[in-house]
Amino acid sequence: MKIKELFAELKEFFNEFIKVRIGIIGLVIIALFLILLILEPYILPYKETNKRWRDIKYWEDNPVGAPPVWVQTFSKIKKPKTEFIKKYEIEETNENGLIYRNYYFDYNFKYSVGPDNIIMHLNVDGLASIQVTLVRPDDEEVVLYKQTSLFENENLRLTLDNVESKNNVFEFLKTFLNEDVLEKIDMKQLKTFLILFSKKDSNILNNSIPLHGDYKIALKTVIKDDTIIRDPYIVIPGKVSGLLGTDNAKRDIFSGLIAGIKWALTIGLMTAVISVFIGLFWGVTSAYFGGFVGNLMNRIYEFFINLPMLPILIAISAVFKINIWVLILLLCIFSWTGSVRTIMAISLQLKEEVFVEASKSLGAGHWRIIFKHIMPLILPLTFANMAFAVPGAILSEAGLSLLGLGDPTIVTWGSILHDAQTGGAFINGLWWWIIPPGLVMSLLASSFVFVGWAMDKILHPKLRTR
Amino acid sequence: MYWRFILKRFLNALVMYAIILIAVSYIFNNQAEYVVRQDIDERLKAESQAIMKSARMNSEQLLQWKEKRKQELYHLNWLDRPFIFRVFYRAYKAFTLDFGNSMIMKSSSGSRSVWRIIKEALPNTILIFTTDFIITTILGIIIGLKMARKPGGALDRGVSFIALASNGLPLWWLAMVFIFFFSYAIKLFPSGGIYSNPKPDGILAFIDLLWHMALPLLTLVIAQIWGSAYYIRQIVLGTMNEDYIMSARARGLSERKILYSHVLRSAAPPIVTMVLLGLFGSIGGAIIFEGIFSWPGMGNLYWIALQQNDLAVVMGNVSINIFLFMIGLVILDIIYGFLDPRIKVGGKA
Repeated sequence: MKIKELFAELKEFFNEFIKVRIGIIGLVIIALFLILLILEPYILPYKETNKRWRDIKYWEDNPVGAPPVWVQTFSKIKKPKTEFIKKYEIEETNENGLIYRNYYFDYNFKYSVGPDNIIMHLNVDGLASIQVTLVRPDDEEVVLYKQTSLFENENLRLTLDNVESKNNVFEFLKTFLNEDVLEKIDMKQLKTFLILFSKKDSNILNNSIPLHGDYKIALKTVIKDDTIIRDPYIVIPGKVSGLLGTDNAKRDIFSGLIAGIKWALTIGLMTAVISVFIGLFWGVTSAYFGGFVGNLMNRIYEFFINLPMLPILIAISAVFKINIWVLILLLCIFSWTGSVRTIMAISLQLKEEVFVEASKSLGAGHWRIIFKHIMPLILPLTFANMAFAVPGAILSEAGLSLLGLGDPTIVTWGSILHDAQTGGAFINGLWWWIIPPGLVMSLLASSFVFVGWAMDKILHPKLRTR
Repeated sequence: MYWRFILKRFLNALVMYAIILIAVSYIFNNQAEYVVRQDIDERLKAESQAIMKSARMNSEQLLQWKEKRKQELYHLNWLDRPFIFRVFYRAYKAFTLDFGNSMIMKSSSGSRSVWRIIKEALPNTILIFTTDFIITTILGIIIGLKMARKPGGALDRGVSFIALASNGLPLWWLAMVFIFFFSYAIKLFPSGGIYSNPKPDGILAFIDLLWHMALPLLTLVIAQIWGSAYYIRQIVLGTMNEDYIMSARARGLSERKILYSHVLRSAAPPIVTMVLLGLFGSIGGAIIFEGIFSWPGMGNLYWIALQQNDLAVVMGNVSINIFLFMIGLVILDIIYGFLDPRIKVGGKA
């Protein structure tokens, strides 16, 4: 019976709600964020973002400060994007007790400039001779790396832009350039990968033409029976990277944004719900008792609204390195006052109602009346306050993080902006490091304002304008 | 009778101010002490090492000197007294607006007086926020009245939407975006500070100031104008529903006349509240905002003092901040009494 009533009430509320268009916009945006939150494990491009956001090693294969991929949608110059190549073909022959095993990785190159580097990852255990070569579409083959040694279950990270590959590229140039051009080459200025991905042409040094087609990166190994080679893969750090580019520490910003959603929502919702409940309790109790208790509670309330929140919050978090839960607690202490005034006004009316009188005469205690009879009646009216309290909490946390006072173990949008501010995003023109975090933050915060506004319009109809 | 109301209100504010100061003093003393002790230890070490190098004293003398110096420094920071004494003493000092001398920071003229340091920062904050409030209020009234004349129109709906959305917009992020665009991308305005270095003379100094002020001002106005327009629209529309407006309409007064001489008159108190509250509230300076623009105001001062653990300056800054805010509330109530006689609590009709 009761559930049915509640359901009907909710339905009625929702019917009213969808009439306010702005509330729907807010709800849709919040829903989108929730969907992203649920899908986080699947859409996060870098799965360990949450654990290793500040681990330089985790991000070392990415380019530094690369713009988002979609930036060049309409530009003529197409730059290569960051690619992971994990598929390979194996060719294996046995000779004199040695195994000759070749791994071939396909790379389709269709850009205007070559990538700056190719990085090969593999795990080797045992004696092995490793050679990495690049086979071009015109069947030229250049050796990029060579090493023979005894590996003990080592994770190798081979950077193929090295002295050896540079020398081999010079050898490669020798095959088609004439002497006097070769003499002028400054080895320091020689761009290895630009040449590797350009057409064989006498003008290759000054005005190279990209050679499109299917490249093969070959990992050629000579190993013994007991040598094990595990999961080789290739990373090609592009000149554009990911949906939202990378920052100065090579981190993928899109991953950071996705990882930040849960913290923004946690901080906003927890602070809002807890502080509105405190406010509800405070308002109802002080109005119900009145007299000395009410006066005292009123004074305490006045004291809290006059406390300067941000200076104290900053001071506390600057001295103690507080974590996210303590921060939420502090935010609650400062923001429960927001809803008290209206709640008090309503409960002053309610406590004079007949049903309160009736339950009193039936012998109900003060707390029973407060918790069972008055608070449930006012609770729905505070939903708007809850929605309004969310953005304040989100923005306060972001502000603290911006000053570098946030929780250093998690990824929040504010901390990304802090890194942007201190990491030279301005001077280097990395707009994709500054704009998206703030944009998603204001989008989420605003949508709660919209929802709160729509609720307010329904719950307090007398505020409606003609 | 009116004076009794003012007096009561004033005493009330004073008591509240005292209580808040004690609380703030407790929080800051509690936190800063640990760091201050460490600082003194380090300072002693450095000083005694310097003396050892110059070999002016033998080890016993040095020990004695060290002890004496420690006492001296502890005394200077009141660390030789009990904690609760320091809390109340600092609160009392702040209450009487005597902030003493800073141990660490100096004003640009080299003075250690906290008053001097604050006096340098306060005008900068007042300058930018007052200018902002004047512009925002005037533009807000203009736009708000336009909105109120056609509720539900395109302008009304558009501005209302932006006003709501701007509630979720962090001011400091807008500042970052503007700096990025105006200072780095098109290089129109400087990215921070209040004067160029070196500071130009005469009329050029004023122009230089305006040039530096343009970007922070633009940020503030763009961020706040929608909210203030929407607020004024709400107030004006609220009054439009009153019966006496209806009667004015019935008498055949023009809509324009009603709006400006009837509605605006009774809408004045809330508008004044909005402006004054915002103004007094902003005197503490927006800490993050001023930090981003390196605007040498109260907010920036607070942040720097906090980073250097300068308790005297931090205390002074916060108490001035709260003091002005509470004075603002009192003034507001007094003005209210004038604008709307019903509010006078102690007054008799």
